[in-house]
Amino acid sequence: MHRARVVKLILWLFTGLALAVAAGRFLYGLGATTNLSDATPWGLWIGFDVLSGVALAAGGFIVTAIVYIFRLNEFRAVVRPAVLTAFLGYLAVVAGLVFDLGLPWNMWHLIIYWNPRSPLFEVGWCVMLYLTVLALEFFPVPAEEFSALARIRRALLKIRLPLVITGIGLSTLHQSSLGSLFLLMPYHLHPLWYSPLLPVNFFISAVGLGLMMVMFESHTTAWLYHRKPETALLARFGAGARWVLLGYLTIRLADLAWRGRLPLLWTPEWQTAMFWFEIALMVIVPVLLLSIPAVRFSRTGQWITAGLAVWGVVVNRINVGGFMQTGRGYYLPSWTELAISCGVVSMAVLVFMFMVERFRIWEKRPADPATAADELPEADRARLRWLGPPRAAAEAYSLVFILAAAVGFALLAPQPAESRGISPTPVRHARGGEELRIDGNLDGFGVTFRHSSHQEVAGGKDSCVSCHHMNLPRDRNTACSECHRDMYLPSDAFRHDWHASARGANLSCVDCHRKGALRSRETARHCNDCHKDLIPEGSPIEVKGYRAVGYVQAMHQLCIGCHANLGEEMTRCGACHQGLEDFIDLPEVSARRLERSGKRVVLPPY
Amino acid sequence: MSFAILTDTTKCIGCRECVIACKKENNLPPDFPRRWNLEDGLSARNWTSVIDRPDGKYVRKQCRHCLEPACVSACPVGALEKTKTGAVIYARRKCIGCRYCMMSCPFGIPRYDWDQPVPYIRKCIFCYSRISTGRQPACTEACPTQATIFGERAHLLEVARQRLRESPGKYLDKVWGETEVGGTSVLYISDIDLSFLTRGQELTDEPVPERTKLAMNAVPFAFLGVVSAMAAVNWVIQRRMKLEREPEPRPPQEADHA
Amino acid sequence: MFDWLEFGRGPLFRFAFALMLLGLLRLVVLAFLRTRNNNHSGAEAPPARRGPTVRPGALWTAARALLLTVFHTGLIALPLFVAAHVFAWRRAVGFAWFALPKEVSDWLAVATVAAGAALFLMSSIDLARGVVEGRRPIWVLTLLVPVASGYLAANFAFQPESYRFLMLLHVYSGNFILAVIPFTRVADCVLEPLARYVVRSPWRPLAEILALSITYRPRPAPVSPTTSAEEV
Repeated sequence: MHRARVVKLILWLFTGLALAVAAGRFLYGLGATTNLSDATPWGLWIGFDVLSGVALAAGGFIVTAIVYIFRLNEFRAVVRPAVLTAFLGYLAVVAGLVFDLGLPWNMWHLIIYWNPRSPLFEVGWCVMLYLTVLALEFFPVPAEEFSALARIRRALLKIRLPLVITGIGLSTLHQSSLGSLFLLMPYHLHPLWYSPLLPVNFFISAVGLGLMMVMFESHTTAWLYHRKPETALLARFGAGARWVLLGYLTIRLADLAWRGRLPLLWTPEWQTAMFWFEIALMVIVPVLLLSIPAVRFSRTGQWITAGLAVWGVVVNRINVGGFMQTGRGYYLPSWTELAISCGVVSMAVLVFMFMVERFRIWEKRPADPATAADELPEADRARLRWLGPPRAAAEAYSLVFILAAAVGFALLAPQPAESRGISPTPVRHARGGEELRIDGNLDGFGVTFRHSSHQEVAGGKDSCVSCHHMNLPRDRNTACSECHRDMYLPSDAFRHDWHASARGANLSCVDCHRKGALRSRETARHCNDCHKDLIPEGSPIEVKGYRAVGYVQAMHQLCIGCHANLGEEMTRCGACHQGLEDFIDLPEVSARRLERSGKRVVLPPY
Repeated sequence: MSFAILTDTTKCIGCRECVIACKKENNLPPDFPRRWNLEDGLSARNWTSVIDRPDGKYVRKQCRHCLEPACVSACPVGALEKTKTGAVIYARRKCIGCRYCMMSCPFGIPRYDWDQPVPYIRKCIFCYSRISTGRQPACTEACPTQATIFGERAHLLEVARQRLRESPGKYLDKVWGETEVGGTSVLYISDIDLSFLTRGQELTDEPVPERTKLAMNAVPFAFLGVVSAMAAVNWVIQRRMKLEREPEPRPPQEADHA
Repeated sequence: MFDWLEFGRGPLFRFAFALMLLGLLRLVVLAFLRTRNNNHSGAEAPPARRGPTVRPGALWTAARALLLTVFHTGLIALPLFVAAHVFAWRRAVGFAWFALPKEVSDWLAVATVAAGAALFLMSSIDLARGVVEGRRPIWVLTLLVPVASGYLAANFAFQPESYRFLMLLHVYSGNFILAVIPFTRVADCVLEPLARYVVRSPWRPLAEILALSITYRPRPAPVSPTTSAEEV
């Protein structure tokens, strides 16, 4: 019981962390809490929680088939844990989906909006139906303890055979249709994994790995609860799984050969390495180990082999589910994604442990140290007081849980929505000096930021605080867009203030806007009216409105980029828009500006 | 009546009028560079973009509105729909946010509201409300050089072929979108290779939804097959066990399986 | 120093605040579990309050009640409704609410500090003997640190370095208090009503506060959930 306590403590820790991350995921959205992107919309949650979860739950339908259909009664001992594992596995899949789906509260739409052509539609329905079947298959076990439920229990036991058969059918379908999902991604999935046989591959590996999962779970719980594992029985599973896995390997290699992709197996790419790693972990090493009778019949040997194979299938499903894509970008899960996955699994394991401690999953329930201390092995009886009696244990669990959750909240960024995807540079002591080169969107085109000219506009020496002030996190400077409001908008290059000063302050409005009319773009005069030669002769551009591009496009990517390449002259608008600059550089405008600022101001290249 | 857009990259001057018109028409908020954006300029807030090629060419990118769209066949709740007008439209009230459409699109077009707690799929919808009332999309209307034009697909294919005929050597001899993945409603003619508009692999002419047809059609048969096989095996084994145990008959359905 | 300040107002604050909320919730859940498992909730009723050992005069009682009211109002209202905190809340949780006018919050801060100090002195004076004793609830003074430092930071001009030091003190002492709330007697603010609910004892808040103010003195052995659990 001592081991179980420690394990539970760790599981509660993961669950607490996941609680905080879950709150963050639903408050701030997927972008803030995952490393998913437009290049890799599926990631760890699909690969691990959903695909691996379903595959590892395959033990349920295989063991029920062995016992109830093929009537190999000696395997009865592993039926209950296998069905329980499958049930909890599917619940974990649904929990994982709740995090991964963008709109999980719409999950029920699967029931009313149908698209039978979609593999995901089929997967969804199979999960729903099989989860129901599993619940009905498992329900008689806890019902044993409550006499009030005896009638329901008897009724369910009567229909057990049809339930089992339906469950096998549904499992077959959707273990394979999880593979069919990826048939739609011929241009997305790496060719080492993409194959028309994906559904078959998925099904066969699920059968092999379902058996290994039963083995792994039996040995792990045996270690946890000082139980005697069903080693001899499981050795027969191992012998069977060996052939299934070999068959799987043959099919995969044959398929690669048939499609002429074998050379990919030797290309020096990291994807190739992952392929071999996955195959070794999932098939080659377990098959070799299981072929040695000394290993197959030993407790440790079985445990290690099954563990390797289970991790192998997890790696395989993660590879298919998001890691092994062609094209740009690569994806590694963020710690928040890992936390959610660990939390979901921990939750499932905790429920599993509760069930085995409370109900008759095995022939003998594990001993409870509070009531039956003498049933414990000597080693554990001595350490019985490690966490004290159950109530103290509950306090320890909950303490770990809230501490982990609080750490999770601390680690979560509070306002990811504010982030621009590029970490802001803290500005202290004007480290950048008088002139900064700012390239906000990191596209290689920068703009020059001049401290002195901004200071001048903002109001002299004391104006630093208008951009640098202490209420922003990390003393971050005010974003350009705070003042240059239209920076990210497709906007006017037309500057009202320049035109107003050139035309003579307030009276100038009616020069362009019709008197009495609403002052808007529509009621204004056309640029062409003043700038006579705005559109050069033979230009391909038809002027339809007054709009030009916004600052950011103008400065960072569009005009300047090309115009600079085309030669010095082209960086000035007047090179093409003849007459434009003459008009702005009217002597009286320059004179007024000189008078106002006390020095000659160089006009920006408008 | 199936509409289409034909983009002639040799005529594009990279002015982004189409981008601006699209944002105005669809009320899209301003975009910022974000972690999850791809460098092609498309995002949840930019449904069309103009890509600067290193050789100084401009290529407009948008949803291709495939004739047999992978996204439509992927969506489990039928939120995406290929309409008679040619537009692939999106019903946000049905969406569950599985992002399967994003995974399946051969051109990598659909984008996601990653920064929203209530996110939706975002992509060009061919200005569905405009084209279904007889107007043309905002982008083609805004284009100052007629580099991107709107019309019936058959007609635009004619136009494209005519341009290829009239100025041989100016264009690569191919109408992009005529046959790839079963054909698309957005066509290109170009003097440069446009394969960068896909996810990076060469596209075949086989429509993507064809690839799941076999597996999906097999579903009912597989289910019935497995179920009846299991029932048959069960019946045979049960009978054999009964025959073996004839001297001491015992009902096979015991109450407990522990 | 600046990084420490940012850490204090960012991750550490979120940690402390989450720990406070979850910790209190945990106490409630554990208390419910305990009453359900033990099935002898009546036995765990809080000991009936006897009258004050030394009956103080009416003036003393009234002053005590008034000071306690001011002290608690300040401790609850200041973190929530000072304008600067409202901005900080908006930054931390994304939404905010109304703020107190500067004058009100300043006066409240002064009053809270004064009331806290006075309460500390009053509890330090043993009425029976009329002298100041040694071991007294020094924790009351800890509660005053963030209030006082916040008031100073908001109202006086400092050199940047000393200002930051003051803010550091303010932020870290505040975080400390938040984090330890579920593990100290302050948690009684949640557990007390709960215990009353469980044992169905009548609860008249105003009268209770009065009674509490009359009998307020440090209990010899605080009944915290940890100790009661170890008894089993």
